[in-house]
Amino acid sequence: MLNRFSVGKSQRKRYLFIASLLLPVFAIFIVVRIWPITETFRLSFHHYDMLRHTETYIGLRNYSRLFASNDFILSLKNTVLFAAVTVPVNIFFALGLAMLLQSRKRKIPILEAIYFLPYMVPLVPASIVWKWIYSPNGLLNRFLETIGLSHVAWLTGSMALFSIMILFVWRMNGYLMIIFLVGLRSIPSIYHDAAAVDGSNWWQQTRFVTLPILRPILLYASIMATVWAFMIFSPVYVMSQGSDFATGGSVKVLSLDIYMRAFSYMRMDMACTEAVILFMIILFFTAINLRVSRQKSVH
Amino acid sequence: MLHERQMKFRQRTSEIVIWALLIVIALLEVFPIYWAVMSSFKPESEILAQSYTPYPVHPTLMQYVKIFQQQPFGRFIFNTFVVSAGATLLALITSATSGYIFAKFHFPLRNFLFLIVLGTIMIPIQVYAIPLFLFVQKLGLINTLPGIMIPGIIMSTGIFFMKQNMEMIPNELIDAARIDGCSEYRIFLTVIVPLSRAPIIAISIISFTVMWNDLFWPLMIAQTRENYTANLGLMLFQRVYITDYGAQMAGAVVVLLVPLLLFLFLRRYILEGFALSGLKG
Repeated sequence: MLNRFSVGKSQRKRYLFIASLLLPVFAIFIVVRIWPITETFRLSFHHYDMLRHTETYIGLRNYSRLFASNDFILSLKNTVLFAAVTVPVNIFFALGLAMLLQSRKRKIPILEAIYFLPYMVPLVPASIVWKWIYSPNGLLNRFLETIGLSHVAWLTGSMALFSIMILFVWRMNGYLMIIFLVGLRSIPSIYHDAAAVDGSNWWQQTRFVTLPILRPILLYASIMATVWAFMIFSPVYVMSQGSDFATGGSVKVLSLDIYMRAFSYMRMDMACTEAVILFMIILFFTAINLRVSRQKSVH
Repeated sequence: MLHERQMKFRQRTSEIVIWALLIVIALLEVFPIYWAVMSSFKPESEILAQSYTPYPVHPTLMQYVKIFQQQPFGRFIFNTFVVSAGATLLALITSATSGYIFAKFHFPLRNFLFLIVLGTIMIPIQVYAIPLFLFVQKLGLINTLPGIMIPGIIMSTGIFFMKQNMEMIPNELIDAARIDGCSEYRIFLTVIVPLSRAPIIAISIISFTVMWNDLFWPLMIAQTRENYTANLGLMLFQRVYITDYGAQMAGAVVVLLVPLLLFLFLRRYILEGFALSGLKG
């Protein structure tokens, strides 16, 4: 009772402190994240004139134009295919590699570091190196030649997207591997010992002990891998420029199409419309991931 | 007896197979990096030769001299440093201050605001790049380094990661400082920040490498060579040195060397930081 006034004062002081730290951050956050996201949605319903900076509301017309566009359909197909292949492959390899490492009795820090190394290589230089390796007279084809196989046109037609998938898994795998490794290490060994005493084999232990415990990490990994796959840009951009490039629309993906609509065709509104679709796809797959993981954890 | 020997044999072969597998994978992981580094020291004749050697027979710095003398590659690297370091510093400040507030204070709308931060973690820049570009254009920051910095000055994962780590700082420590008469600002600067060394280092590295890695946004903002980032420089080399793979490799090696060196020196923080951010995601 006695210090009611001082409590009120210190409480006010504390709110002032909270506001002084949080308000500037949220002001920036709104300006560079929240507002642009809502603007993307808003612009997708407008016709935007780049020169005069004027907008006219046109309802869903951008969307109907987008879905009638061959470039968009092709990009959508390629991106979905890219995700459909790289997400499971990435997770399978990363988890497999983590389990192989975990099966050794001692930690092998040097191998862990080596597996992680490609993730530290930025995508642009990585893509430039791989592009040379893939080129018609490049290292990979010379290698095929020496072992008596014929050349493969790694960057032509539908092969190009597949080649980018290899580079992508090479670069991203180490990150997921480290996450799985930490997860595996956090499992107390009594679980496996108990399962072994019960006479379960390696597969049963993996299926009924390891994977259920790893579920939250698997969820995180598959969401990450999905988002990465849907936002793929740099390798595709590198591979479609300069010499020996991947031709035509063979590697066109959503983010490349967004970029080109905005800066080659100067259609900011159409680019926003496509960005909304990209957002919806990512939201959809994140929701599926969450759903699947929640359903399973009920059991 | 026979059975036991058979078991042992089988165990040993599986040991050998696993080790072989681990080593082969390690070699495949490193090979492209090795190949780029080796090729960057080769003279043109060895790059164009009909058969490749696994290392340069007559090692030369020619390719590096070429990209730094014929092109303003030093400038590109410097720009990337400025952009990455600047954005990282701001991202650190915004993450640490808001992370601390979310971790240790209660106030109206706290959970709602934090949920908004969490919700944006999964949204890639492609989704909001166009309106942000138009905004940067309005500010007159097109083709400037601050313009390239802008999307990186805030980091949802950084805020999240800071909050998670600062929650583990015992409340008693903060209360003790309050009783000693420390102001809230001094508590933050002299108690909280020093105790958050590990997440600060981890977030710095993540932010720096993310900025260093980016192509999509700089491609939109930088228009003339004096504002190019290193990645844009590499794109330029693809056109200028169209079939000169030696020069392209030298450029690639310089750009990939920086995060690789970071990794070599700060491996512990990086692996722990990435792993932790993963576990709590």
